[in-house]
Amino acid sequence: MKTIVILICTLSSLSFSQGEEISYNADIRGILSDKCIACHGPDAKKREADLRLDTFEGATAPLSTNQKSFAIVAGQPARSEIFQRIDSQDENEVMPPPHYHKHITKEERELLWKWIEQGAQYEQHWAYTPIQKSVLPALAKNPIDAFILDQLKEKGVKPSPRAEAAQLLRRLSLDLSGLPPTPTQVRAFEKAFAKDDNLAVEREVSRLLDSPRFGERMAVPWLDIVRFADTVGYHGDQNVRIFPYRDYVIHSFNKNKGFDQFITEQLAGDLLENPTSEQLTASGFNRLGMMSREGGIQAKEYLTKYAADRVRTIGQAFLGQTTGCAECHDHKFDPISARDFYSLAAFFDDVLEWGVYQDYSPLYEGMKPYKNDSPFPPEQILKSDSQLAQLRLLEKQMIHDLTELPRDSPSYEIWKNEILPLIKSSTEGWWLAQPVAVISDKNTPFENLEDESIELSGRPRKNDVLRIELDPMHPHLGSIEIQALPSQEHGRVGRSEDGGFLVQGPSKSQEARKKGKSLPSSESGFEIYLKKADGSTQPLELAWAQADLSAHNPRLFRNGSPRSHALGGVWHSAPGRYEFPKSLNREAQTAIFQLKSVVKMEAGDLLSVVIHSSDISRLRFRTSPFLDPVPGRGAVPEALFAGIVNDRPQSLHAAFQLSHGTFPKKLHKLRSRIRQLEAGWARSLVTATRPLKDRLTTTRILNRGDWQDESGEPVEPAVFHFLPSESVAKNRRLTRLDLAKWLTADENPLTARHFVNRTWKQFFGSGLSNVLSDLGAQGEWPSHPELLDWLAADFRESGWDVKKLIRKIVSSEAYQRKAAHRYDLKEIDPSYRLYAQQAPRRLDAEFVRDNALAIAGLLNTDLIGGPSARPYQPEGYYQAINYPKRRYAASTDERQYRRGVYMHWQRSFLHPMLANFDAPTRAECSADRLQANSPQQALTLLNDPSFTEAARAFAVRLMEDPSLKSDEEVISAAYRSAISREPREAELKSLMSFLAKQRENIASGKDDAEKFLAIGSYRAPAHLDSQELAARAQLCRVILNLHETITRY
Amino acid sequence: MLAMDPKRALELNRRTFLEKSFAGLGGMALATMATQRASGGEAWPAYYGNGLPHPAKIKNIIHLCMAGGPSHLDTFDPKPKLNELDGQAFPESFTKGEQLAQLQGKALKVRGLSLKFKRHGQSGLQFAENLEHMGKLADDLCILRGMHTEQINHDPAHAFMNTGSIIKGRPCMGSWTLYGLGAETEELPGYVVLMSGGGQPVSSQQWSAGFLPSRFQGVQFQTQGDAVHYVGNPDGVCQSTQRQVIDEIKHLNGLQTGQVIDRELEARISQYEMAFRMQTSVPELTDLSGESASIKKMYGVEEGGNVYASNCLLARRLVERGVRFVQLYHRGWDHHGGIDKGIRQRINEVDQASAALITDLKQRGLLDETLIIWGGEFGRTPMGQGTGRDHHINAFSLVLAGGGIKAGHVHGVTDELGYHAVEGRTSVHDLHATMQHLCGIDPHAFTHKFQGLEFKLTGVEGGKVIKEILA
Repeated sequence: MKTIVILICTLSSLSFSQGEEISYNADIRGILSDKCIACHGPDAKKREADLRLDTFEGATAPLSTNQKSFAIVAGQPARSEIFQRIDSQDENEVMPPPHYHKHITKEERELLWKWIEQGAQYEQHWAYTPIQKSVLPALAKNPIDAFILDQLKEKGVKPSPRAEAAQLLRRLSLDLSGLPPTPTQVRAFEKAFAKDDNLAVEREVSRLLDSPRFGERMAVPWLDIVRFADTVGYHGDQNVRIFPYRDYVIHSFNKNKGFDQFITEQLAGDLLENPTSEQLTASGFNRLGMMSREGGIQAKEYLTKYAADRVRTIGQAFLGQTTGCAECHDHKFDPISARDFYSLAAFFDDVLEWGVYQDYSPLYEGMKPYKNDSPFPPEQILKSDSQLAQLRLLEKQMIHDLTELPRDSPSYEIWKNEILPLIKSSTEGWWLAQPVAVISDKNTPFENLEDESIELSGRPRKNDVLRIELDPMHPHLGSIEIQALPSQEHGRVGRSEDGGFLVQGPSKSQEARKKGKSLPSSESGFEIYLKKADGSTQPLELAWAQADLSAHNPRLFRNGSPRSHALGGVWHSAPGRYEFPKSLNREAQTAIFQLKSVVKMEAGDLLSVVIHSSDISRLRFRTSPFLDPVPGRGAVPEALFAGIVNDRPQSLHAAFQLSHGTFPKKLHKLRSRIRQLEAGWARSLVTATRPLKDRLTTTRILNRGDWQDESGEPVEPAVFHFLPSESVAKNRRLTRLDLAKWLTADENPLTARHFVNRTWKQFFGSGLSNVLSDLGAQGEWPSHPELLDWLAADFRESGWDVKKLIRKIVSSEAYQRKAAHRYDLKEIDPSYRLYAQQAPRRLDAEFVRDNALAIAGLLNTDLIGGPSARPYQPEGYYQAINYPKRRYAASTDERQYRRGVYMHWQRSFLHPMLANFDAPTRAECSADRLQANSPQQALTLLNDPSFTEAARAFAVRLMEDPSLKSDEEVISAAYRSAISREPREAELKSLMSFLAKQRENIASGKDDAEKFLAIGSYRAPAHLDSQELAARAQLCRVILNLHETITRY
Repeated sequence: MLAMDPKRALELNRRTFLEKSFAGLGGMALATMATQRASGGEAWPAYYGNGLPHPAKIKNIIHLCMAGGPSHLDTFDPKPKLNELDGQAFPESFTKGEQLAQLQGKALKVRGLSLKFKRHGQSGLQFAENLEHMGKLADDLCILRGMHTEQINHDPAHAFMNTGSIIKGRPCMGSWTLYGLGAETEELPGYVVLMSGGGQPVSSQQWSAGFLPSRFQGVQFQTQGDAVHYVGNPDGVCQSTQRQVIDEIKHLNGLQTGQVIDRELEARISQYEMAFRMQTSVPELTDLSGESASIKKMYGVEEGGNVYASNCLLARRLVERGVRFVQLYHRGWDHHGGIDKGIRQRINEVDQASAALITDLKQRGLLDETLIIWGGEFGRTPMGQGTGRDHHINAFSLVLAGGGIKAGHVHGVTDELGYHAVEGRTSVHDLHATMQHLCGIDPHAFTHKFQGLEFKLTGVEGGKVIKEILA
């Protein structure tokens, strides 16, 4: 440490030459802020001797101790009292005082002296001044280069040449998509580059910006800063349902949504006029903070914690300000007051939330009957694009698998003759059934409508039972669908007060008590019979029943997910309590009942359905000869139905299998995954509002942040008092929408600067102002202030166009320079802040993983978005989690190989691979990731099954390539895949002898090839020689572990 | 002049870089520091690598964290008055306006003590009679009866005990200690966490390095599979092959150093070596078969038996090998109900092994250079909650032992009902300050800059070194 201190002194004396004009912002602010302002600054409560040194007025006012003395006298350092104090030898006099552990160095004293001599001119902190586009130095077309070259010229440093094509493409690929280029892409690019380098780069940039991988890459830092996670963080760290928010972020970057809109939707999507489902999903942002359902906590205390977390996040995520200190007192360095803190918190007073998400005490009205397993309301129910895409992928897979099943010819012929014609005339496998008779036990008025539906009307009638006889219009009964349609009269699916309905059998406990025994299954809300022509009835045996939309009782969950997707004899229409949008009760909802096997009806037979419901509105029935349909979808997938109608043999074959419904295990798993997708419906945390009068607490300035102290003054929403706010409404209570508008208003100097600065780091390894979390006084003076401003201004003028900003950055010469090759800059510019050459940067955790999977050919990118995936994780890692106890089940299908951005994020126990590579837990928002270099990283790459499995798959790839014959060729190809270059002679030689040694090891039986090859769920093709594969897999392990493989140059 | 003068920007950046690099960015700066030091482990270049502000009394810290909040009233702080008033209404003068956890809004009644107390040793310290092994060490221990904390729920209270703050992302005391002092091992993590028992969850955030580089985070040893994540070779790969793989990686990375100037590259090479050493030393460390039968008996270590006991033995082995900070969590002290039985069970699980650890360190001459801290994140109410006690933050007890600590001593007094600490009140920040002081660190000067602010373990206001308990 001492060495460092000496270095600093030398440097600062170097930086100061005689006669130069002293700048407050560049030279003085840092000294005052670090050494004086904590006690003589904006925090009025802590201000010593009533002296403030952060303003000219304060510093030059008469001292409270002696009205004739002044801390600073402009132009007259000798008369400025501060020097008496700095120079004093008396422990009680000297400033800063000894207990503060800071002192003013000789050089700093000299700077202060000069500055006062020159008039003690104060300047506004750079980040709070209006963003200005200054005149471009006429050195280059790209403004980035103009500013950077200007500085290089002044320093007498020559910029490096452009990187070689392969390095450049690898850099662009890793920066823009988080994935390495394939060898084919590199080859093609090298060719194009040789022809027309600028054009080649431009094309690649366009390709990469247009790829869906771009959004996945951009989402990672955003998810850090908004602290997106799959669990609540506090105490039991239960799961929340929130993946649609991540989909939203990825999608927004991909379609290049304006950053202003992006901010607005997140802060206030729910307050926009007629918000779309997408905007509601975005408003889940306000719900991303930690939550608790620990027994014994007090709601008010936790609401205070949630509010403070939110203010810290808004400050960090959008403004680059550290607001946290102002929870207890006015900020000591920045002008953020405690009032600013609580006024910002007050914007969120309308957010519907609870301090404690558990029903353990009557004090927390509204949380009945929420337990450890329940979800965290309120939630939005939405049709998820990613779930629908997943559904189509799985259906495609299923159709493919069905066509591969063998078939029994005679039954196929019968099917083709009897059933196929029926199918062709159906609606994707369904026929409308005709109601023949309707009886309501309680005489509810009803009407048969032309579309074969039955409309019931009037007030709910308790214990009503509807008995309906139907003619299915075809004889083959496999499944029965009940549609609950919006009423033609009032548009809602139910007649209850909330517009919903409930189908439920007689109360189980009551009946059971009466009978003194358990109930037969027919006591559910539904009964289905075959009514024979002779009037006798015959119950039809059901295999299962499921609805596409139903409100689950909170008790029926297991750690945030429903215990079963099947109806347990109860069908409660969506939305449930604290589920949104409320208008969902205006959408048709369907339930399916699948029979144990296909029943063939005889002439005159009818279907008899008994439904216990007091308040359902309008019913319609359909039947199908198919087994296993998915609620809310066709009985056969759309794509398959088209094939059937067109008599495609493959489709007919698949359809035949599907209507038989006896599947091998693999297909059953697939079917069950399809059904679990609930026709694409997903739930996601959402912002809903509550009337202000129903607030649990009033936001007030809390004395020292103490939530129990109610003496503070209540505050209303307001933006920071020290920043311009002319666009903000004056005479009404402000909303979150106003906050969003102010953040992106022309007068706001921080939002654009902060985003541009963070984005810059993604491409250069350091921010232009390199304390990414703090653009305040204690942050860093930007290395290229005019450039930062130019980019910020341009970003705003472009309509907050993120892709345009990035295109500008990556198109610059500065970005495209050769990396990390200058010995002459090692001392002058060790942190690459001159941008004379590119900086090397280790990949972030998620991309370390993606990279290995991509190189290995294991990466699955079929789907964009979707629920979190679970890569292998050491057993027992969650042993210290409880309420409920957790078992981590690694994904066993293609989800194992999804990108890191989709990894399950457990706040209390982050996946060790992510943690080892410095991913934050996202318990608190983080604007930047530290980059450590640790033995744990080495252990992960060496031994984590995800990486050993990747090494093996990589080896298989190399073995399956017939063009690779010699070891040289194999090694070269491996290098091209992993690091986009050919191995050098020494590397090749070394790896060849390594490979030979591995063959020996395996031949000698030292290593157990079979065991090594069995790691993970990926299986190598059987025809490959397992000994050779094992040897090559060791080679691939080495290559996947290289520093160069996980680094972008 | 412009508010932002571009011409000045770079000088300032260079200065900021140098100020920050050591603290914030890990890797290079640390490696450089290491080479500049005359001696000391390359693996753990420390903030105080060039010398401590004042001589240290201790080198290591073992925190035996009794998670859930053990009742001070039924362990180290006897209040016979509670037996007298058992079942009566609790005097309102104590509880009015006070924060309660699950007892809020309920009728408050005095609950008598679950256990009898007994005096031990020359010092005559009082222990619940079930703490017989720890009782025998009375003259080696120092009891802090005046502890109080700010957080009444488990997770934030643990966070406060560990980091001095309830905001997530702050470094814990183990990480601060490691950051300050480094560790004297090149093959083990410098800060190890061990876990036993069941009940209230404990988050890995408790041993997080927060805004310090991640290498300073606690490494939790697992009881299932590899003790340290990924420390075992992949299935089917023998040690010599693993060595070859690592050598080849190091060799190729070494070849690359001539091609690019990347300060992380050299650090990477040494991290692979360290990783390999961990792969061999961790299994050796966790293999207790070499310990004598009498030692195992002293701790109560049995095959498939008490995990806490083997963790205690492991703690000694860790400290012996130069690990700086060891934290044992034993869960299950959250006695909202059934405290009479529950507290006996917990004491039964930890008493013998805790005492054995102290005895064992002493007989090896290690106790003088180690600080042992025994206790939970808060105490429990003198009021009953059914058959148990609720969380309590106004008073609780911790037990200290080891270098620089006054032995056979009690510091702090609670009122006659054990509700408030009335004398020798000790905050968590005071405890941290004392701990750092014993390590030779000045708690007020040991800071790290993050988000533009100088943070320290002892919080904004700082803590006081508890002079009264220093030997």
